[in-house]
Amino acid sequence: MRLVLTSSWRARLRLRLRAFLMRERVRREIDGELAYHLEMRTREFVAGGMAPRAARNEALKRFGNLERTRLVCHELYMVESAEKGDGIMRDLLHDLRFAVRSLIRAPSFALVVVLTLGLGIGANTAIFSVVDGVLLRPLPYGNPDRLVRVWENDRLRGTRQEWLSLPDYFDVLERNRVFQEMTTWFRAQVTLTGPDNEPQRVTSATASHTLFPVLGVAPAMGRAFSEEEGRPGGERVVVVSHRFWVSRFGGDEQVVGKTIVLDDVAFQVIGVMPAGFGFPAPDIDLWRPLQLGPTSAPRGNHNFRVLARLASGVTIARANEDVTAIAAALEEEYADDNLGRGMWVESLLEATVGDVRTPLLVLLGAVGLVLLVACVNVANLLFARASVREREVAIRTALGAAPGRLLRQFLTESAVLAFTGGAAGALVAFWSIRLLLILGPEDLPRLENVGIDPRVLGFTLLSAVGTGLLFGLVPALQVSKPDLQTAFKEGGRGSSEGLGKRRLRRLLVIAEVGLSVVLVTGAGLLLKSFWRLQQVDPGFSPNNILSVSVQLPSARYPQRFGDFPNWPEVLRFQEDIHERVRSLPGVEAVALGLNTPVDAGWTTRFTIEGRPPVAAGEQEEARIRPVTHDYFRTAGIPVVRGRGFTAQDRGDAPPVFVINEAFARRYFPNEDPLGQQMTVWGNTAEIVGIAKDVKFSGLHRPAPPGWYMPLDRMPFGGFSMVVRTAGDPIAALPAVREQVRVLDRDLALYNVRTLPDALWDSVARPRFNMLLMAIFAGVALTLAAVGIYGVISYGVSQRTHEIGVRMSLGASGGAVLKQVVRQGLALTGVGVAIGLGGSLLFSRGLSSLLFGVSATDLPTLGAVVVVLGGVAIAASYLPARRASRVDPVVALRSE
Amino acid sequence: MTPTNPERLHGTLELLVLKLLEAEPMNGYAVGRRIQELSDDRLCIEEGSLYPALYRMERRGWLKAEWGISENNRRAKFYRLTRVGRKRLEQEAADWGHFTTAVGKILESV
Repeated sequence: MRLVLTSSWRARLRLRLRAFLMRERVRREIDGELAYHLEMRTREFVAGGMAPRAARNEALKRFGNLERTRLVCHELYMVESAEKGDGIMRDLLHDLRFAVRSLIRAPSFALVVVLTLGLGIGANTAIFSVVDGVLLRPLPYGNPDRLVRVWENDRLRGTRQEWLSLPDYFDVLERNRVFQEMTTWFRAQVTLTGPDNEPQRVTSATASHTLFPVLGVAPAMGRAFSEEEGRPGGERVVVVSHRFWVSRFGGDEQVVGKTIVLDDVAFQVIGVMPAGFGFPAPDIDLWRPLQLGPTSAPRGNHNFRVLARLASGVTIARANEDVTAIAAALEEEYADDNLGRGMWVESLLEATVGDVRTPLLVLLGAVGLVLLVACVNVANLLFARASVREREVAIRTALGAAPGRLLRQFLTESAVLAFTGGAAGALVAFWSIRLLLILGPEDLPRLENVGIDPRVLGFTLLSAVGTGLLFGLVPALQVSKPDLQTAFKEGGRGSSEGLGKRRLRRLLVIAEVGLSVVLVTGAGLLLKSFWRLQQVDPGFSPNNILSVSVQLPSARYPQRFGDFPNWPEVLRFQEDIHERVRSLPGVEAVALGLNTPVDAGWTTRFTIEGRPPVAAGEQEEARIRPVTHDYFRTAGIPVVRGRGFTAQDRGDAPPVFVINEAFARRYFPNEDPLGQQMTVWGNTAEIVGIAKDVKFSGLHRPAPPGWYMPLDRMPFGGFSMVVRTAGDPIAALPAVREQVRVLDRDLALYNVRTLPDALWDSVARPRFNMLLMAIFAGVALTLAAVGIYGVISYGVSQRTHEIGVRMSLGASGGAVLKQVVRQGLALTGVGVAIGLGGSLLFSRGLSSLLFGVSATDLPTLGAVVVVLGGVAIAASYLPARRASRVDPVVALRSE
Repeated sequence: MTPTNPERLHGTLELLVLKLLEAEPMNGYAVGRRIQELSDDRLCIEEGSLYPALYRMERRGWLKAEWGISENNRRAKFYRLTRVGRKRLEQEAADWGHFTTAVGKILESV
C-alpha cells in the first residue's frame, strides 16, 4: 500500500516538475523575444539622438502594457485558445474537450466533486427508487385508480379501520349504486400435503368469485372462478400463483384439472395466475372461492376484507356518501350489532401504502437535503477554483472572448462534473438499492417493485442536470464578470477574492451548516426514538425462546362449533405435543397458547358480572389469550398480583381468568379485580390474578387490555408453542419438528422464529428510518466540515500578511489560533441558528415517526448544537494552527 | 463575413502580419517596424499588441516560429508563413477587398 502510494506521489511530483519546467521555458522564451524587441527599439531611438534612459522609456511607452503582453503570450501558450468557432457542435466539442482537460489538470478537485455528487445523487436515486416503486407506480391491475377498499369504523370504540362482517358485505353489495363490482376475502394458512412432499404451509386467500374480475386480471392459464363455484356447496376448486405452479408442479402445462390436498381436502386446480400477481399480498399462493351466503356468518364478526371497483365516473367522495348512507340504514335495522358503525372507502393505493407514505417522503426530503448540501459544497469548491482561475478568465476576456462564450464554457465544465457525478451516482444507487433491500423492513408493501429501471435512471439524469445548473451557474456568472484591473494588478502574486465573493462563500457555508443541522436533528430525534423503543420493557423475557405454530386440520381433528370446547382430538394432540417437547433434551420449558407474546391476536366481547347491562352494540371487547398453565413461567411474564394458572386449573376445577394490568386499569379503576367474575362466550369465571402487561401489539404501542384463560377451556385448532431452551433456540427446531412429525406426519410448522428475532423485526421500520437518517446526517456533516475547513483555511492563507503583522506586534500564537477558531464557530453559529429554525419545520413532518420524544426535544437540540460546534472547531483547528505558526519575518517578507 | 465584427482590428492586424510574412520570415520587431514604415507611420499600433497576435496565429497553425540569428547577430524568434497561413492570407485579403469595396461604395453613393 505504502509502495503504491509513494510511487504515485513520485509520478505526481514528476508531472508537476515537468509542468513547472515547461512554464519556465516558455517564460524565458517570451521574455527573450520581448527583450529583443525593446532593446532594438531603444537602440533605434539612441541612434536617433536620444539619451539611453529616455530611449528606453520611449521604447517601453510605445510597447504598451509589457506585463500584460507577457501574461497574455504566456497564457496563449499554456491555455487552449478560446476563439469563436464555426458551429455549435464544434463549440460544444471544443468546450467539452477543454472542460475535460482542465479537470484532468485538477484531479483532486475533480475527484472530490465527483465523489460528493456521486454520493448525493446516488443516495437520492436509491431513495427515489423506493418511493417510485412503492408510492408512485400504479398498481398492476386494470384501471387501478377505480379500485377502492371499503372499511367500517366504530364510533363507540373509536376504531377507524375495521373489516366488514359478511352480512354487511352482502347488504352493501345489494344496496350500493356506486360500485361496478365488489369482492371480499379473508386470508388463511393452509397445510398442503401430498404423496411426494413434506407437508407445507401455504398462504391462501379465500375470496368471492368476483375477485379476479374486480382486479381486472385474468389467469394466464385455465380460468377464474365461476358464479356457481362461489355459492355455498359449490365445487372445490383452486387457482394457484405462478410461483406455486413452478415450485409445486414444475411448470407443468397440463396442470389444469389436477388435484391438490389442502388441510386434508382435495381441490381441483382450475387456473394459474400470471407471474408477479399477488393479491392481497405477494406471498399468496392459492385462491379458493368463498362459498358463503349472507347468513353464513354473524353480523358481529368483522373479518371480511372488501374491495370494490367504482362504476365509471364515480368519485371517491360520491362513493363515501353512498356507503355512509347504507351504514346509517344498517345501524337502524340491526342496532344490536351495528350501533355506532359507519362505513367509508379509500383508494386501494392509499390503503396499501398509506402508512409508509410519510416515512418515505420524510426520507426523500432528507436525502434531498443531502443533495442540496452536496451542491452547496461543490459550488463552494467551484468558487475557490474560480478565484484561482480569475487571471485566466481576465486574460481570455482581454483577448476578446465574449462573456457568453466563457459562461458557456464554465457551464460545460459544471455539466461534465454533474454528469460524471451522475454516473458515479448511478453506481452508488445500484449498490445502495441492494443494501436498502437487505436492510429494509420486509413488511414494506410493494417492495418487489423497487429496482433500477429507466424511470429511476431518468431521475438520476434529472438530478444530475439540476445539480449541475444549481452549483454551476452561480460561480459561472461570477466568473464571467471578472474585474480586469484587479486581476492584472494582483496577477503576479495569485489573486484574492473580492469582498462580495468572500461573503457569498460564507453564505454558502452557513447554508450548508443550516441544512446539516436539520438532518442531524432529524437523525438525533429518530435515534432517541429508537433508543426509547429499545428501552421499552416488552413485559416478558424473550431470550432463548423459540416459537412455532401448528394448524390442526378440522377434517382429522374435528372442531365443530356446537361441541366447543369439547374437542377431544385437538386437546389430545396439544397435550401430547406439550409432553413430548417438554421432555426433549435442552428444552427448559414449553407452553402452548393461541398466540406467542409478540402476536397482537384478536379481540372478543366480554361482560363483567354485577355491572349494569349495556346495549348489545356497546359491549366492550378485549384481547383473548388462551394459554397452558406454564405459559407465564415459560415466557417469563411476571404475575404481579394474585396467582397464575396451575396444572390443577383444568377439567372439573372452577374456571379462572388472569387479566393483564391494562385490563385492570381500564375496567377496574377503583376496585380490586381479584375475586370478580367475568363472562366470555358463556363461560363465567373468577379473576384470580393480574399479569404484567406484554407489548403484544408492538413495542411502540401501549399494551391493549386482555385476559388469559386455560387453553383447554378455550381450544383452537391453530396454536403456537413457545419453547425455552438452554442454548441456541434454533438448534432445538429439528427436534421439535420431529416430535410433531411423530404425532402427525401431515402437519407443517409455520411462523418459526425466535422471540428476540421477532422483537428485532418488530422495530424494523423505525430502525430502518433511523439508520438512513443517521447516514444522511453523517454525509451532510462531513460535507459541512469540508466547507467550513475550506472557507477558514482560505481566509487564513489570504491573511497571512496581516497575521504576520499582528504577531510581530506581539500577538501570541495562541491568540491567533483562538481568533481563527472563533471565526469558524461564528460561521457555524449562524448556520446552526438558521438550521434549528428549519428543523422545527422538518420535524413536524417527522413527528409521526417519533416515539417517546417530542419534535422539539431540548436535549436532542442541545446535542446537535454541541456536535456542530465540535465539527466547526475540528474543521477550523487545522487552518488555525497553521495561522498560529506563521513566522512574522517570512510573512512580511512575502509582501 | 460580417463587416461589423468587433474583432475587425485584430483581423486587420493579422492580415497585415500575414502579408508581410508572405515575402520572407521575420522576427516580431521587424514586423512591427515594417508595418510602421510601409504605412508611412500612419498605422501606429501599440507595439505590444503585435506579440499576442503572433502567438495566436502560431497557435492556429498559420505561422511557424523558429529561433534564428538576426541581422545584427542576435538570437531572435522568426515567424514563417505555413501553407494554412498562406491560404488564410488569400481569403482574408479577398474578404478585405470585398469589405473596403462595399464600404467605399456606400460612402460614395450616400
